[in-house]
Amino acid sequence: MARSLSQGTMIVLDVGRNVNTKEENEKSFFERAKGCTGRIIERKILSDGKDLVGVILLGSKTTNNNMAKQYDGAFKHIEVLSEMQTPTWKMIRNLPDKPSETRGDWFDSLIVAADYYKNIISGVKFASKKIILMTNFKRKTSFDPDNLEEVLNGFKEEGYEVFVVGPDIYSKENDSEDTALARQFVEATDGATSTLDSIMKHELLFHRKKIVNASPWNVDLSIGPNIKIPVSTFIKLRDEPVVKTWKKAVKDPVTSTASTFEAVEKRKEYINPENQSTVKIQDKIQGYHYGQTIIPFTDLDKTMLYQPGEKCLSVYGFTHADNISWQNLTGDGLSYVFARKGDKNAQKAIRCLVECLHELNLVGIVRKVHNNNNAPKMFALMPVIDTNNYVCLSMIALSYKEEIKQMSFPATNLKKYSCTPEQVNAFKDLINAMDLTQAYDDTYDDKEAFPIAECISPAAQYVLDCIAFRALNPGKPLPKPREEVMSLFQVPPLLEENARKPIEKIKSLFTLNKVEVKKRKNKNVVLDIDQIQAPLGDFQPDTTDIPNMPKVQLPINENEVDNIHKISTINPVEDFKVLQGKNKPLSELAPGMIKAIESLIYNNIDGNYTKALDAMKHLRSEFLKSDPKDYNDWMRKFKSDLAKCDNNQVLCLIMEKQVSFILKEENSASTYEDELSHEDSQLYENDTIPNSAELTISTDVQNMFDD
Amino acid sequence: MSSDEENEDIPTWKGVPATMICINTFGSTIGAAQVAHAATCNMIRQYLREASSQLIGVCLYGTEGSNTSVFGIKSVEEVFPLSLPNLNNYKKLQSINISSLKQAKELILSDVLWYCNKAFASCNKQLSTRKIIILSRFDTPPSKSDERPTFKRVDDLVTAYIQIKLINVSETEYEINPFYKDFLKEVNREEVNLPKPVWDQKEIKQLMCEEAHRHLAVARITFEIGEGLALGVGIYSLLKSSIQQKKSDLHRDTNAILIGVNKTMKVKIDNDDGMDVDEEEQEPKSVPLLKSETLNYQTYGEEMVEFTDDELKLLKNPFGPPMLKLLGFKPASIICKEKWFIKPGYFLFPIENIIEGSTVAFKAFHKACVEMNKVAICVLCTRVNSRPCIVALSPTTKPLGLNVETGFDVIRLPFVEHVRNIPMYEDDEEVQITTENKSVMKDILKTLCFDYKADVFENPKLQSQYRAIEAIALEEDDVEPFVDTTKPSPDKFRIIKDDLFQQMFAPFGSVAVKKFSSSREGGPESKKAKVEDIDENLLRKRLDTKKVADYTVRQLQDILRSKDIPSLPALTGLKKKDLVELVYTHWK
Repeated sequence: MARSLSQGTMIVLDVGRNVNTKEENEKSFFERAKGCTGRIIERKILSDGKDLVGVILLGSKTTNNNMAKQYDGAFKHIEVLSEMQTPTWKMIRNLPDKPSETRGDWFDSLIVAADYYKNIISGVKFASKKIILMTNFKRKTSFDPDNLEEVLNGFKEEGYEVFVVGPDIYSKENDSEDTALARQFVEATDGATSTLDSIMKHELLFHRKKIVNASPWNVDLSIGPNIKIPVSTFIKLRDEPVVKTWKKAVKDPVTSTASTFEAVEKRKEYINPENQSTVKIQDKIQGYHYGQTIIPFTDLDKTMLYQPGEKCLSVYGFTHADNISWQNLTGDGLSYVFARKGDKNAQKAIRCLVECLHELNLVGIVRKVHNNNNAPKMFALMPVIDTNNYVCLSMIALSYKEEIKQMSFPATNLKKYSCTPEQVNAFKDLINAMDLTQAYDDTYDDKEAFPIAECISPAAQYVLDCIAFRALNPGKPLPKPREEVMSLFQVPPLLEENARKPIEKIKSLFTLNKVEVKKRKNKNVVLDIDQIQAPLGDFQPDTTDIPNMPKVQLPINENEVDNIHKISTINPVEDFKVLQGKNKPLSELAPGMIKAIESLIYNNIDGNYTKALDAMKHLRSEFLKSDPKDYNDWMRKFKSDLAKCDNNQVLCLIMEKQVSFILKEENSASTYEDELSHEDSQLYENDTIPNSAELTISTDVQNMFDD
Repeated sequence: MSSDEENEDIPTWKGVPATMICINTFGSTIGAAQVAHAATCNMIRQYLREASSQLIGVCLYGTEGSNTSVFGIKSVEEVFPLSLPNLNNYKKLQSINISSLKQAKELILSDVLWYCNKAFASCNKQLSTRKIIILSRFDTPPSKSDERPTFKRVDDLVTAYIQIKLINVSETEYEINPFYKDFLKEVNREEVNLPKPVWDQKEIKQLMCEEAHRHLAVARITFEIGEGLALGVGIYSLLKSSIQQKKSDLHRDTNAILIGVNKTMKVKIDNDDGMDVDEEEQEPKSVPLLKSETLNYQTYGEEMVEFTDDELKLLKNPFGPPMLKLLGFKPASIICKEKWFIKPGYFLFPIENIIEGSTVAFKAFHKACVEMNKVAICVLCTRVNSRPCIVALSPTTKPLGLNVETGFDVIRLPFVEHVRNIPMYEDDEEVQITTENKSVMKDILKTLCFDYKADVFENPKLQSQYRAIEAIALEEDDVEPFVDTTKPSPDKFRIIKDDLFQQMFAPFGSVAVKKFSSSREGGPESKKAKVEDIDENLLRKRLDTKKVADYTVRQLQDILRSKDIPSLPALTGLKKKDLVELVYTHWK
């Protein structure tokens, strides 16, 4: 497999005194240029290509470059910071934190960069040799312009492209001898220039896509037994993951990073449940299920199976293009089919085929066997005249009959679902208002929003952002998606404005009522409630609700909140106090409070039990003042219920917050000498394994790897 | 717990679906009963092949009482009770001879409903859905005295969320008895369309296999059209991703079913090259790895960039809960399959139990899109852990031949990163295609035209495997004949004028195959072109000074490839040392 040539990029970053001054947007040129350098390297790292990058500091305290070694006293304050290499995070981290006290000559730095290509890394052949100069030209070069011609010719000959990133070198206010010189470099070498802000906002805003080399699948397209046209297919579209498969490492308990002395090993074992023995792979055969029966299928039986035959792409027939709908298509992406390169006759035949299919509005159906004896698949071959002027066939897989799910949907052509022309027109107004082909005004290059196959995937960008963030900020929590990434799927502002009126119109024409589905409780808790058998009799969990049955939420009567006559779960302690203020006795209030506490705990979904525990604390303090018996009796029952449903977290919290039994030492009426006075062994056990809930591993974690 | 979010809106369906199939053998429907019987056999066979976990029961009604009656219900003959499809039941069903059955004197429909009700009630498994399928002609009503009890039973069943489905088995159109119109109305609690007659065994089977859509949604979410305006929609996948016959691992000798266990272990890395070979040797080298001990990493920029499991989850979708949000509209013509197909899409259908009134608005939206020939561009995120993507909603009817009047194809649109660069084809001269060429080609195309339908092609590998397994399982020779639907009949091609084609276009492949020229974006390029990459002078110098090792491995490979060296080994696997050696040997 031939490889593509790498691109060379030498970044010359000015770190001299001249870039230290803070500018209007508070960051100094140095800080912004450093950020830009980092971003360029980061993008190169994440695009995972073969490009080489080097960094030269201009105006550095140290002088370290090949030219200075050859010409004593010249090319000072220019330091090759990173040799040209596959880019690394270390290169970004090695960039200096602050500008130096010296200054360097930007022109000299270009010569150093050019020399680097010519004499240091001369063995490598590059597809392009870029030199990116980042300076604000605040320190004049001492270069004699008389020699310019010679230098420029040298640059052109070697194929260097000079990019200048800094001030706008074409604007009048920045016009100087230096910017004039820079312009000549950019123009002569076919380079480019951009301001720092612009490059960060446009060119470097998003990560690049990875470049995959196209490689052909060569086959003969056969029509019947005698016609065989040599073709090559290339993958045109394919959904590939942004990053490679995640690898696993063992976490070092000390550093919390990947361990260097332990590794992860995955293996699959087959266990015979009859005697719990491990079975060797060679003693394992496959059996197919037929109903409840399993039919062992040995190698011998394989002769009965289908023989797909040789690699092929053979025409089954042709059919009307309208017979192929989106729902027929399957597989991953599409390929383009061309006549074999260099075969004039094949080119003529394919071109003729494409044109005829196009004129007759037909598509071809072909049977494809990718390699000898691979399972055959059916494909549609559709004529395509691409924007790149490719005249070829587009090949997409078709589904087999077995893959079609037999689904039934309720009828929608009933009278109760009919809509009026006025309602349809309201939607037509909306369609007119939200035309994405006219989403932007003339100030934009392109009026169309969300152009197909040109949009950037926000999910991919975020993953790459996070990798870069983690590499450069180890140990820090991951950031939220950038605003730029979030904006990748927002309605263009103009359309949002346009849509306002039609939306209101639609809202007025249709009755759409949100059906409030009661929040389902955590499944485990619901199960536990079943086991508890309603400790206080009137505690009624939601299990009687049929999950799928819609519930319309009735508006709550506001007055009720002011006029408290029972203890709610919203603010139990306050309610308790209010009611107590109304001279209600503790014996009357306690059941309500207990109900609220239990409800808060059993129906808890967020793992935050503060409210329940506060309520318990309050209730306990009240009982402490009088007779602790009721509290202790309830606590005993409650703890045993909690133990039954393995709610160790709450059990631990009860101990931790000291809201357990009221002991004899606190109130002499208590029958509890100490915590365990009335314990049975089961509870004891539970108390000794605190936090065991944390050790159980959620099955959700496993679902992550599905994608 | 973060998983709560997922549980919130999506009801989980516990248990297995159960279906009672009731075949009417009463009166003039005997022919229909035979067809229904054959279709039921067919359906059970399919469920056997798929090793389906649905419970099926089959009974015949309208028969004279016999000893197979259960629950003391006389006019119902149980073929087999609700159970997982298995071989014995299949054989039992197959052996029934419909025409030999003795008919009841009068049709008591309430009996069979009562039987079904009892069958569901006495099933000791947890059932997700309960469905009764009645296969019959609907021209004979039950006896007058049975009408009221029948409606009472229907009411009981519907109240208990048991679905009743009528399949009209008939060769011809006929007047459906008004009783069944009322019956249907009672079943659905609203006016519905009468079932159309079907006679083809395969069609009947398909109707029986149809699964209610609402349990199969990929996602049930709100479709946000604008601020404060949303519809309830279900997102469905109309295709199964891949079908394979269910397999288990068995022990070669005993046929015992084996349990496959994936073990994730942590092992010590030998850094010390076996320095201490004493008691350490005895220590087990691997111990199970806990989830909390794992890290996930990618290697970039020569470093491992690490994330915990939780962080990895966050990475998947930081953009919030599942959603479908309207971005705007585009002309339908820009969405062309041949350019933009990237992945199988979904199907969008309104549902009422998130937002009431969705169906009406959905239909108006559908109609507006059809009439204006537009597609809606939306952002879709189906699950909490799935990546959001941009989709086009294209109005459709009857997708894959299913009986649906309204819906949208949900077409996934590719992002820029999905597009690959294809090397540019630079044809030296434009090929000239004459009208004669075209007429020959068009002749061939027209001759080979056929009417493609979604179910034309069966997976030949799967079908032949089904039959191979079936032959063993049923121990009989009358296995369904296998037809490879992916291969056209050779007769079709006999009449095409391939000789004319050959005259006009052939010969092919006579021209030396040239390599593709390298494209700027990095297409494949010729290895031979590398010769000029190498600075000959430098190479000489390094050869003389014995400094060839200063080259990188890649450069060394290029150098070696630049010279036509006979029997040059494959260079990719070689170490640098060997490459350097090779250079010295060949450049003496």
